[in-house]
Amino acid sequence: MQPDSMEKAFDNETTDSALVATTVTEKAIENYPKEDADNNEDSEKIWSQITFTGSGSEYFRIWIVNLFLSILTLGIYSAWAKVRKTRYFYNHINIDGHNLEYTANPLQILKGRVVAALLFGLIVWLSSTANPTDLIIAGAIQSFIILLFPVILVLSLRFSLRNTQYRTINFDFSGSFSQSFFNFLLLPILILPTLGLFIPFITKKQTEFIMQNSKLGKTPFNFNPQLTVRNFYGIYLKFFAGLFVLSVVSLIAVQTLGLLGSAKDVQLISAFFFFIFFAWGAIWLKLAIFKLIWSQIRLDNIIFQTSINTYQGIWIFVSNMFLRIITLGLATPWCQIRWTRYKIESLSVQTSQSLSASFISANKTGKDGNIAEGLDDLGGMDIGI
Amino acid sequence: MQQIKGNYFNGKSSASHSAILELGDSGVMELLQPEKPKLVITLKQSKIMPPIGNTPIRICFGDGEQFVTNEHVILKNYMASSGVGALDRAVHKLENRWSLVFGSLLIMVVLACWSYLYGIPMATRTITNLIPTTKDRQIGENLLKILDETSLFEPSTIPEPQKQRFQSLFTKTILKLPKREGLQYKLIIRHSARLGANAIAIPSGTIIATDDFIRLIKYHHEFQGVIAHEVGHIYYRHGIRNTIQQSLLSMALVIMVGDTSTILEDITNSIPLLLSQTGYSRKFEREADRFAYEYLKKEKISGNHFANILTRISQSKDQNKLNTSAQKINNYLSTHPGIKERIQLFRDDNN
Repeated sequence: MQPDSMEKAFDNETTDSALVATTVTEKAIENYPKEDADNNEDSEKIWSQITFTGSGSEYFRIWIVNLFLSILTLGIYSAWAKVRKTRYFYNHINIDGHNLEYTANPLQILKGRVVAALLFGLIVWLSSTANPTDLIIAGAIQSFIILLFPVILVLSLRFSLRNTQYRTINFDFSGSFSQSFFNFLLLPILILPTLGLFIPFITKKQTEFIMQNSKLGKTPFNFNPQLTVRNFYGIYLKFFAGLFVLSVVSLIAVQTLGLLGSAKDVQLISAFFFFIFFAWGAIWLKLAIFKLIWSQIRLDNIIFQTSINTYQGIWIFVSNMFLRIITLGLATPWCQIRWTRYKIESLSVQTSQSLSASFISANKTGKDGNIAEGLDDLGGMDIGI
Repeated sequence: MQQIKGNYFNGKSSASHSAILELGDSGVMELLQPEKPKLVITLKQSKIMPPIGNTPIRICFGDGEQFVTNEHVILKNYMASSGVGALDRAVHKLENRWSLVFGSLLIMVVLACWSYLYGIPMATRTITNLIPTTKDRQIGENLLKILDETSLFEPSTIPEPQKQRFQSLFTKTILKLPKREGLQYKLIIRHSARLGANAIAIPSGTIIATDDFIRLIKYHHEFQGVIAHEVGHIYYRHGIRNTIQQSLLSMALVIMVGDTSTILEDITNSIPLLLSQTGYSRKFEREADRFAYEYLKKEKISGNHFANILTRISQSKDQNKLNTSAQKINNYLSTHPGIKERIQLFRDDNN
């Protein structure tokens, strides 16, 4: 290779990168990879949108192949499928010209799933037998799993974060078992005696536990301004107000139609309200907390912001559900891409300097947590930042 | 010798450095950076993250070092010629060809239909045959205990002599019905406001007939038909088969949707489960009807009797039904096959 031709190659790169540094990099993926403006320390603060470049038709093919191979191998491939799916989504999340990477080893996930499946099967078998001593055993195992939940949570967060990379730096989770035990098992005990009035406070503690113990390399996430109890009571107040309004409206609608319309009308309107209720209960709260988190979270001097709208989110969620039902599930990949795009592209980051040199590797590997990953999957819990 | 442009990361900081990778023979690559010594990387000692979609490809080597590039085609060809990552490439190819994707979709649809119609019922029968009938007894006795604790049933108000007559008719009926080893057919008469006119088979062999049902009976033959139907459920071990079938069905669904864990799926995934369960219980009803049909034919009892009592039971239910919206929806998801369809079997073939 000629030395001067190499010079030229680098020259081209630097002229391009000046553009990247000053504009919102919507099409960053096309020009990627870029050299970062390491030396070009801009004092001006720039908002850059986080982009999601996944496409429905592309993911549809990955989804079908995942399904197909999982069925052919009686579920064994599902661990590889999970990694491929996660990698597809992460790789298409683009922050300031660089994408996320997921590095989990499918074999570890498979091991976790086997353990989880065995445990699950054992419980089902024990509880289905009428022998009372076995029932006690099954109950014991179940309560053991409940007690184990805080441990599983920490292990699985550790596993997924340590296997997530940005610019070759691994994320990390440093929350301890005892903190997790306190936030997810001891605090919830107080819900009943306080008639649920404590729930927003507990949610705040749990959110802080998860977010403030997350790190990119050695740099921890933190809240600025701090989350307040008031934030969470506000969210819950809105949530219940919404529930109340919905119930009144649906009650009136169903009653009127019950008197005037046919049985079909009543079924339709009931189904409609059922979906709305479900969406409100399942999604609104999550989106509201998502909005709060990403408006106030910081990673060192990097500021995040989100333009997410909880009502728009509900619309996407409900319409996705209908689409999936109408297409007998075939629209699922498009729906997932649409949902992820809405959430991810609502986010932007503001950096006073390039993200380039800000992070130092903590040099940890994602070895443990494999069993927890499997248990987490079977339980269908949705953890994630 | 081919060159590809990309970014180099040293694995210790998030800083990226423009670099050029020279792809040499037999999997030896050289990483060139301005004003830095070149790095020699071999394909064997590095790990190339399998390409997915059109996202950048990463070559991981050394202590967390990475070279990230967008030049897919060149790198893929290079990997192919060096014989690295053949399996990953095969999957990637499968994912990139619409024809192959539709082929797998077609195979899956056929496979799903086959397992729904034959595979799962066949596996269920095999498993059921492995389980001794003592299990049916256990489950049945447990169920009876639970039923006793709930207020679903109350003591019967039918006069004792009438009850006696039905008991002896029952004994006479089951004499002619095929037996299942380990299970004993028994009749219990109870009042139930909530169930109305109904008869229920418990896996252990007990049949619970409600007062309302007893009062609907006009001819002995009607009673015998219904008893034969319920014994059919017990004889074919529908209780235990239902449990096994449901677990197999959920297992199949978990395999199918196992790679997804977003909340988006939760409720919509239960719809196929619900529908296929409904389909299966209809199949059980038909099987029990067949059983009753064979018995009636053997005993030279006209099928019209069974058809009549079925019609009367369903009419009595319609009358009792309150016209609330909840009831209307419930009706919609009823597990019994259409009453017309069921009656057809008995009306058509009676000579």
